[in-house]
Amino acid sequence: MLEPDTHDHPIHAEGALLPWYLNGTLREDERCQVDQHLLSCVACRAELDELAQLSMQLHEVYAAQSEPSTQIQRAVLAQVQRETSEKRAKSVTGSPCLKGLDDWFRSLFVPRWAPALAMTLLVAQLGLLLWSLTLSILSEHVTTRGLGSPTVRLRVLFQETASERQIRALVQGMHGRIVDGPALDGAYIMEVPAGDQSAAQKKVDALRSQTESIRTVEPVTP
Amino acid sequence: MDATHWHDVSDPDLLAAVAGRDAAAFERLYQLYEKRIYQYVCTLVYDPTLAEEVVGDAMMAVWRGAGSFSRSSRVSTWIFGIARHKALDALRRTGRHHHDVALDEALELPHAQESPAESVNRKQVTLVTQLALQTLSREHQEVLRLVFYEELPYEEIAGLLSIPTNTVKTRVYYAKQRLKHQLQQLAQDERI
Repeated sequence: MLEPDTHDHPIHAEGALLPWYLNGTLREDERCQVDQHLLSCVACRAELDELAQLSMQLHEVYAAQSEPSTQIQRAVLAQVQRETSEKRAKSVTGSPCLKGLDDWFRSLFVPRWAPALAMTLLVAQLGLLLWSLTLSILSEHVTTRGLGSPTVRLRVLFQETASERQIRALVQGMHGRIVDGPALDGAYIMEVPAGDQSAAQKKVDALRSQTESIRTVEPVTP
Repeated sequence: MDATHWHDVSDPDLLAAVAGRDAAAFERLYQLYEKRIYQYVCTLVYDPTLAEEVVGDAMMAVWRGAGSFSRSSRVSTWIFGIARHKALDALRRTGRHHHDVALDEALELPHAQESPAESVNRKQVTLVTQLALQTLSREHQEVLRLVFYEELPYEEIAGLLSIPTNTVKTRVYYAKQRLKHQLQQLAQDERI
């Protein structure tokens, strides 16, 4: 059931702040406002007493609720230890190899002509790279992975109640694909084909109209 | 250095140490949050096994993503946010949805003995409150926990749930009214 954003019957603005007055997280100005209001409002004082009683009862309920098994903690901490050890092992075993490579590389520059030769080779390679890049631009046989250009990437937050099937149908309907996500805030990056700005905007509007499944859609700025 | 070294350290400092790949600091953070996250996730998924899986996923995400904490909210809000997204993903993946529990479907209280009229004992009150809580919607149960147990500011609850601050205030108001109504119903039904 979705409650309205405003109350059906009048409630003081200060009354709506009482739960946070009770848990001590109001800003200083809000706390003072509620303090002042409580001096003259019997209804809000009664409400505050009720909330205090309720808060105590809820604390008892939550404190008595079940705890997770010890297995989870063991599994998570073991995984963390594994990841830490793997990282440590990589940095330790890497060092002797890198040192040896460094020593060999330095030995190449002992003769006087070695730096000049190295510079010549670098310039030659740069020229080769530029030549091959020019060729690929002129080439007609460009192959790309994915949907084919052009595409646009959209940052999508799905509704909490959207099912996996709905999301799949939506993505397929857009001839798109999910390329990243979920991020820590639950958002996904969807790539959809769009020839130009106006086509991209049409895709965004089409997705936004799917309010049953989509909460927010924003183009990803490159 | 073991987890006891981190006992008097604030949450932001703990998380900063975790970002620096300190496993002992992570262990301490885990001890502080495991039960809270588990109980919060149970509110969302209603399945202890799934909740444990979500807790594991969420805390691994905390370990790997600690460096991305921006200090723009409390550490608890950030961690609860990760757990919430993991829980919703799990619900989506398993195709499960919460259903409201009517008062009649809630577990029946054991018959109270003929007790003096002056008061109901504390255990009975806790049980009654738990029964009434079970009949509330997931959204209402969630906000009551975040306000009264986790003691989060309303702005952070709004950020966590991705809803406006006014909606947080009205949701808490209606949740409290609904809980009060259910408690009164239980009392009238002479189950206590």
